[in-house]
Amino acid sequence: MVAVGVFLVPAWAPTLLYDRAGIVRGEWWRLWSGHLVHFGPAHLAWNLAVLLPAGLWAERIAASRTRLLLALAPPAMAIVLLIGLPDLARYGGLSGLASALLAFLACTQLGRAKGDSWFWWSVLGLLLGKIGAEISSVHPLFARFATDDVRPVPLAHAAGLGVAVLMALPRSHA
Amino acid sequence: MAFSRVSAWSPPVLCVLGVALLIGGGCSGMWGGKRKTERSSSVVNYLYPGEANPLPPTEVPVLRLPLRVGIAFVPSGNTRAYYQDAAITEVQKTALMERVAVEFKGRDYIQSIEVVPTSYLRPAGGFTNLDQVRGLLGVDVIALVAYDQVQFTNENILSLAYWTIVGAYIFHGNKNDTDTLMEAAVYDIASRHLLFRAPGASHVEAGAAAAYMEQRKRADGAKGFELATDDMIKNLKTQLEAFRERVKTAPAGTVARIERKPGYTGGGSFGGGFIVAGLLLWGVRWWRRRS
Repeated sequence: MVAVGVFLVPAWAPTLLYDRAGIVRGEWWRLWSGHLVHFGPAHLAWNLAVLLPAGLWAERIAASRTRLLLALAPPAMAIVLLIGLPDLARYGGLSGLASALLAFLACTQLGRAKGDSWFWWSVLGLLLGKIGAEISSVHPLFARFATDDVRPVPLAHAAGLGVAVLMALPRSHA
Repeated sequence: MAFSRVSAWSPPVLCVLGVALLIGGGCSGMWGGKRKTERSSSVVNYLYPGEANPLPPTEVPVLRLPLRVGIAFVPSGNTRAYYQDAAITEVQKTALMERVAVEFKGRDYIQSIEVVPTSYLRPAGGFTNLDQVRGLLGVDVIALVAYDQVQFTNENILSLAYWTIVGAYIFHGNKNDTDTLMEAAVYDIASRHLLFRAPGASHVEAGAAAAYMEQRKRADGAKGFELATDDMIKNLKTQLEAFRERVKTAPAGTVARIERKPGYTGGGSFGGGFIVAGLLLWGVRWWRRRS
């Protein structure tokens, strides 16, 4: 809802976007809010298509940990981007968080061992395949964003997946 | 009888007739006859002066996005005018280049478009000159605009009225044809590579009275450049898209290598493929649970 609101009021985007220089200056809210900014309707729509079902399902089976993930994953991913991609000046999109929720859901479901583990392993495989394909892509310029200048950042997805696995593993082992 | 009548004309009358014929003939020579005016500039003459077989560049161009683009008219070193006329002025050139620049501003892979005044380029300056422009203005890629404009002037039957002197101000006894060909060649300065080129052409026809012929020719020349620029902009857009498609579909690094300048914008997104694959998985899960 907030992401849709931010998209409908473009004037907010510069203040909320992940802006490396701004974060370094102390605009710490960008660690969270950057994920809410999108670069086109398709960008927003695809991310919501993954985030909403994954988030609702995860909240139904592990409400408190899902909320904790929603609170901690955005800054964790942003810090990974700050350290790992010093040339990345601006970043936006919920896909990192959507990846985190999807991976968290898959790991949680695998921990519950309800019999369709093949499905959740496939989901994790699909996610890893997507990240791998983005890393090996030779034409980042011609990505699917509305603007050509926006480059996919697979590290955000990998970071989201990593945070989710870290949060889901203790419970799975318990 | 008739001869005796002519011979009877007094010398002053014959003098007046002679002067009238001389003036009329002079005017006819000044206004009449076919004329051709040609103005041109050449990218080849500018970039490869005195080179009969310029060697093609061997390295693949590296385009660091977003690009800083320059646009410049190639200096004319080849103006041949049978009837000396003012060539395209600096003001006209700047206006035309501004129009081209406006069409390509706002693209995310273009950081800036700089209109380079002709005074920055010297005739036959070659890539050495372009390196200087690159250093001065900080452009990575330059669109060099060359032109070839030919104007033909012919007389029609109305030009007979010019003999009356007043007719030279009233009757459109001259017909001007103006053919203009423009071409923008887009070069990566560092690798000396021609990325793509786009032509533009126009044909303008107009009639004029002898007294206003030069004025008309200048107006036609300017209109010719305007129309050719419109055509060139259209073709530039097509060629730019074709170039992007070539970079996209050709094996990596064969047409151009794309790099990012520090400070790029990144985003994360799920494409339709991911969603479809996820839905397929979900469908299989649902089917298996049912059965």
